[in-house]
Amino acid sequence: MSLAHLFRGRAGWLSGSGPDNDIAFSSRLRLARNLRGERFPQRASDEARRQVFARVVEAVKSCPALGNTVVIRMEEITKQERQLLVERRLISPALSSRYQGGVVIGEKELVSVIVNEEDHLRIQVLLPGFDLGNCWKVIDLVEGELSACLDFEFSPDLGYLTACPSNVGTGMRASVMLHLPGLTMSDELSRVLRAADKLGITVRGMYGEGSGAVGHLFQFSNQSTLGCSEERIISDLERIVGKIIAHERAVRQKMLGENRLFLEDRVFRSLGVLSHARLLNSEESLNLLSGLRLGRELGMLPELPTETVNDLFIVTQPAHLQALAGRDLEPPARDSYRASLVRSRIRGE
Amino acid sequence: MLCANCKKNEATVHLTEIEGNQIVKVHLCPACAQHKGVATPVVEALKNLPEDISKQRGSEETGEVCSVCGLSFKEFREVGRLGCPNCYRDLGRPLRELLAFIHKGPRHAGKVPDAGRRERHRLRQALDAAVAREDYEEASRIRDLLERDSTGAGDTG
Repeated sequence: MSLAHLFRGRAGWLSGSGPDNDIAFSSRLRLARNLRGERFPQRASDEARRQVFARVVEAVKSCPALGNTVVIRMEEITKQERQLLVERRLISPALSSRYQGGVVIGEKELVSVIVNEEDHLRIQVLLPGFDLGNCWKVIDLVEGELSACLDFEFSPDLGYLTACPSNVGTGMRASVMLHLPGLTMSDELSRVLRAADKLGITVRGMYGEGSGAVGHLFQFSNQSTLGCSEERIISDLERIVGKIIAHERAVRQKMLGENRLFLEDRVFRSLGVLSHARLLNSEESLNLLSGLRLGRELGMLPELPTETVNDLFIVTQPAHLQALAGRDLEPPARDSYRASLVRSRIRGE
Repeated sequence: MLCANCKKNEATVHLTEIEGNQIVKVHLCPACAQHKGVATPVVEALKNLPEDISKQRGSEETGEVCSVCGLSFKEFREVGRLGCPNCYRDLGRPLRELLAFIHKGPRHAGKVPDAGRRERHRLRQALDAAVAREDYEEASRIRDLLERDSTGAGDTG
């Protein structure tokens, strides 16, 4: 399986299935691990990092839970291909060829292992909907298989040791991406975000640290990794995210009851512009796609498949557009190509 | 739309910041976003440490250096990343104070490596190697060890 082949298919987490998928886009678990006795990547020699990469790839290949894998080395791909991986949430922008970084991607992009980013390994499981329980089952299995052939740095007191002290202990970051147009429109969002922060939950945009909350998409994740078990971190996050989902649903119902016309107008304006616009920039398209997704979730657009809408959030990003066009596109040309792609996808082509 | 910072590249990162009930939008290119926006939680936490820890920090930071990778606490404060596992021991007290500030508890309460599983994997590899070099005496000894082990553990990985 090659990089090009990988991107012809749809990532598994975009399928629009999974629990609470009317509001929860996807759930993700990530475990940070380092090899015993080795310096962390950013302070290791090139040779040491190369050896770590080889050891991890060897171990991952003998890991049945990952199935068929693709191994991608950052130094062997173009800047645009790297951006494609970022847009598909398979790597973070911080993964650099400077540190002999790479990623091993499992089937349907549901499981991946990032090598030599901040830590030697970042094991990631990404599933559709609100499904941290299954994310944990899968990641626990994968980590267990890898730990049979790799010796991870562990201290009885501090748990798994990581390059950043904010990950030490379980090394686990759990996150759920929610679509919250109702809370945003009703001005309740800032109250919810402040409450989440007080309860030890970090809120970020779609692409993690430093990215914005465009398209009414927000990622909620645990702040603390030390002092609680993995199950406890997950159940605490599930409880809070469950409340936010219920709140969003209640706000939507209230708006439907009090001002259905306002919501319908918003949904059909989004559909109208996306179906006919000739130029769309990235922010405008994400915000209109949010309107489209809301219409889909409220049953106003029954003919439009959820996975088509979810997929558009990803394929309208710059690197995906250029990969689909098969050439580099300057921003004005990109806006025109984006508009034509959205029109054809909405028509079901 | 151009990046609000460099005004050269296309803005593809759209930050939404909440100020009171107002949502303020900032549009940046990926390079500027990484440069400006990606302040790590640790660097932020270090800036916001309570005063009593900050006071201690001044005296501690000159002496605390990791004996394996040479990272000082001062350097760590700048980059927000440790150099090696030994830093957790050698950067001692200021680092412990930081951990207490950012985490819920001082001790690990989660998953523990399964040492038996790793040992079984090592034995299986040794068994394959012994069979490959036709050392059947050694192979049989390892198989006995594996069999004795598997009667106590239900794990096959």
